[in-house]
Amino acid sequence: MVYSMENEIDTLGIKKALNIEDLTTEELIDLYKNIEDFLAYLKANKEEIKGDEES
Amino acid sequence: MMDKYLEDIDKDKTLVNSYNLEITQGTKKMIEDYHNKMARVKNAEIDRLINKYETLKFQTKEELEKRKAILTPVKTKIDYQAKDEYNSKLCDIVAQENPLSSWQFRYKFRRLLSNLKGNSNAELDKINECIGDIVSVFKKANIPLNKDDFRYSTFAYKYMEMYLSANRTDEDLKDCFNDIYWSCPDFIMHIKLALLKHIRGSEKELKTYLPKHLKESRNELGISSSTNVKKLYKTSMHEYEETRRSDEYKISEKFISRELQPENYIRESSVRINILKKYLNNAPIKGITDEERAKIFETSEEMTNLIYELENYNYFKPLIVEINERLKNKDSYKGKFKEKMKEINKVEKEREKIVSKLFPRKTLFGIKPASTDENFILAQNNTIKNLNGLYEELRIAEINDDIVSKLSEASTIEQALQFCTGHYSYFYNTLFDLLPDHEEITVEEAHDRLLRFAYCPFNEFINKTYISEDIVPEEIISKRYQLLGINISTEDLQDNLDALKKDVEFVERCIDIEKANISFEDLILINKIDKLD
Repeated sequence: MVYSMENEIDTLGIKKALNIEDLTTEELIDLYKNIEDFLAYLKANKEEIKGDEES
Repeated sequence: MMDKYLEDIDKDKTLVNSYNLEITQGTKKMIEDYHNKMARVKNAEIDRLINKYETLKFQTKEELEKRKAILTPVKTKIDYQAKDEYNSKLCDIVAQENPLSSWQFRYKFRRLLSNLKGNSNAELDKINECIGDIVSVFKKANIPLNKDDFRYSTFAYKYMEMYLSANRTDEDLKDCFNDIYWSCPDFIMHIKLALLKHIRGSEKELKTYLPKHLKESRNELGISSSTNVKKLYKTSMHEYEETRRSDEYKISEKFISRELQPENYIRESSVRINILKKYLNNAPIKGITDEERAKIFETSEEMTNLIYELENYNYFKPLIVEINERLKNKDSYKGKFKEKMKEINKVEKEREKIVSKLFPRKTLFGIKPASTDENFILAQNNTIKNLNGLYEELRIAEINDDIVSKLSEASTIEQALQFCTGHYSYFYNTLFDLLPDHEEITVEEAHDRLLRFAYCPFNEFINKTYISEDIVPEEIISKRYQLLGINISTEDLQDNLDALKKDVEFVERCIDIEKANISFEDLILINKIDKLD
């Protein structure tokens, strides 16, 4: 699936579609690192389901 | 634009943190159920975000790779290996045409013969190839060799009869080798002596054919007989260096592979300033001026060549000591060669007499069959073993005569080294063992290194220094640079040559980068992209 910010407008409430091609290389590198950090954060924040789910 | 992305991440982070999973009222079961329900909702949201940001990450990486491809200098299609091989062949021709080289070296006879020592199947291919090369020279010189020319011993004859037969296969030859080997492990040496005898016996004819042979080497490279090949070699070597040093891809390669840090090479880098400062007498405390930089840059190419020359001079110094020793004793060599040759001829006649009994021969009363008397075979083998030793002594007498006729105390170090490289058996049997790392390298590797060094067109001092002179080149080089305002101490050249070499390489790379107009910023970006997972 190719990511498109257009698809995210509703969810995020962003008015303007973003395009990564408009970023400078330095910014892209920075963004990449931020995404990596955030992905790690997301993965660490997943919740555990307590007790016996079936009961 | 970038802020927008970061804001989004922040928003999503807030969203993730906004889920309240706990209630304080209700039974334990109700609290747990509520927690699980909300946890599932939160996890579903996190999964959606992971999917979204993984896609964005992939897309960002893809865009970065695109940028990297644009920033990376285009890989040139220059075939450096082919260029190097061409130069190597040119160097060979220069060496072959040098009067200091022996006539046998020009045919590579000694190099080929040195390979005839094997006693295992693994080396059999090489042995056969070398025999083939020698036989082929004889054929070209119109002195074709046939099986009867190998009646040097019964074993040499048996193998060469198979070798020269028209329809034999490699497998036949291998079987023949194994068959003979167990009866006489030394039979390759018999073939070697037989060939050596023919080379010596056909010296006149082979020398007559030599100009044609040398012309063939030139023709292979498309060089006319009127071309000054020494000059061509120098130009070609120079062009090679120029090409290599102006090849943007090649210059950038080590930065791209992260072997080198581009940050160290920018003008303001303290690493760069400190390296350049080392070369300046009265090094400035602050940075380096453009003039000072230019002065260092100007001398760096010459310095690279001098370090190469110095390194090799020290490596091959034992050879010069050897030559000087032999020259000191030159009066004792007179008549030795003739004396040895006479002795050999006598033993060769004995061998012929013994061997003739081992082949069927015509007599007045018809054909007399070959003797099967083991004593004759033993006598044949022992005589040839004795001859092998005598030929070795002859070789030493010959080399001594050659040294005296071609070299003197007034010869330069370069001439002496060219002599050494042009007398392969001398190098193989005597000089190689004098090299400091001879146990770690092959004779061929060492010989090739010597060949390249002795004929390097950029040598500065070995071609101007006599072998009898007692010099300390490090002192001469150091003094010369002091006069030019460049600080290189004798100690640097003697004890820290590797460190100096690295520094000079650094300076050369600075020059190449500046000349090629490569952007450090681009290299740094490429490097940063590569560091990403």
